[in-house]
Amino acid sequence: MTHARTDPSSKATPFARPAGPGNNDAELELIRRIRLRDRIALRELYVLYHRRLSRFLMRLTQRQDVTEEIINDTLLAVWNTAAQFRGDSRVSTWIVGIAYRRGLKSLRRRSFELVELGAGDDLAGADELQACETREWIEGALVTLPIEQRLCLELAYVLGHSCEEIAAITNCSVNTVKTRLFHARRKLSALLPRLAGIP
Amino acid sequence: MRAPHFNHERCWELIPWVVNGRASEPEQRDVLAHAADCSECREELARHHALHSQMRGDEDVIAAPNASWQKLLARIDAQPADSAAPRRIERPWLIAALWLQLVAIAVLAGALFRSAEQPAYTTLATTQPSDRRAAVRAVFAPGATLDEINQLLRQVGCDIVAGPSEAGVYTLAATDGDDVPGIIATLRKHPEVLFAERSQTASP
Repeated sequence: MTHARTDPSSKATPFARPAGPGNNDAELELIRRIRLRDRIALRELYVLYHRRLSRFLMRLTQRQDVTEEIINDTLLAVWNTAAQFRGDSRVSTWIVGIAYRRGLKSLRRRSFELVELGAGDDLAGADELQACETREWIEGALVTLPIEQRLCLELAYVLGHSCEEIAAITNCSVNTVKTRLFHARRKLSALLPRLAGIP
Repeated sequence: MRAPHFNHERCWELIPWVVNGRASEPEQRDVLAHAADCSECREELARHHALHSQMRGDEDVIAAPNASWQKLLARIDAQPADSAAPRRIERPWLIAALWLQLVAIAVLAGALFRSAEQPAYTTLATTQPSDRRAAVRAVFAPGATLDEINQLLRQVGCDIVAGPSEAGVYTLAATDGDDVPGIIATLRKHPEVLFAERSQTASP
């Protein structure tokens, strides 16, 4: 059964807002302490976000040095501007938003070529070979997406953000996020039919 | 009960949020129920479950952040002291007190300015510091002419050094000599002089 689909930007349907990633109350307390120049609090936040952001940024840059640089830029901005954060959004939305802008700027400046996985890697067996092929296949499809569309997908699937949070992080409307995901998904469904069990 | 507006398009739109766990429980139930009957949504759901699983599979490649943390600390220490954003003043009453102080200063300055503009009130006993030679204070009759007054001043050897004040008081100073009692006595005898008295600034 095939149904006609329309661009989602034509309607604005609010999503429910279950709990987001991270413990916002605990992170707010860390931000309060950081305002008072508490480096131990910054260290706690750093460990927390290094894990989240490195997973997100490594997928985009494929370079650890660049990932580390963007993470440090982000946490330095958090240290310097913590007093201006009013808690209007979740802490994770604010921090990932800073990382998103710096990551996007870095990506555009350096014009990274995403590193494809080497076909000649030493593999232990057929299962690993198949896993690696699937991974390579998916990454190859994601690379073909425009960067804004890919970032929406990465923010949703790698960091677990909601549609509204992604809109805040990327500084655009909810409908723009929906539209970007709509086009990304249409392209991926054409490129990755086997993921849906289609031979 | 399924919401009446819930249809294929709505289900298809919600699939990423069902996959990443951000859809509400009713939305998840509706999507799963719809996907059971719709092959297109079922395939899309399967595709995005696989995509989600694959994209989140990199957790074990994260390096320990210690070295990077030390670099961040070095950057913070290298910043000028004022490079961090100014801290928000956390005592609103302090701002209110400063404003209050400013208003009080403005009011006092205004009052001082107004008092400076007011004309000085002079009484007969008021000291006239204009001239150390001032010896006599005198009031002439309203009908006295200028010639009569000049003639009288020449007679007693005085000049007008100040006046007339608002009360019509003139301050006279002797051009030579210091016989103030004699001058006053002469003035008092004259019909054009209503009042003559030693000035407070006159030499004793």
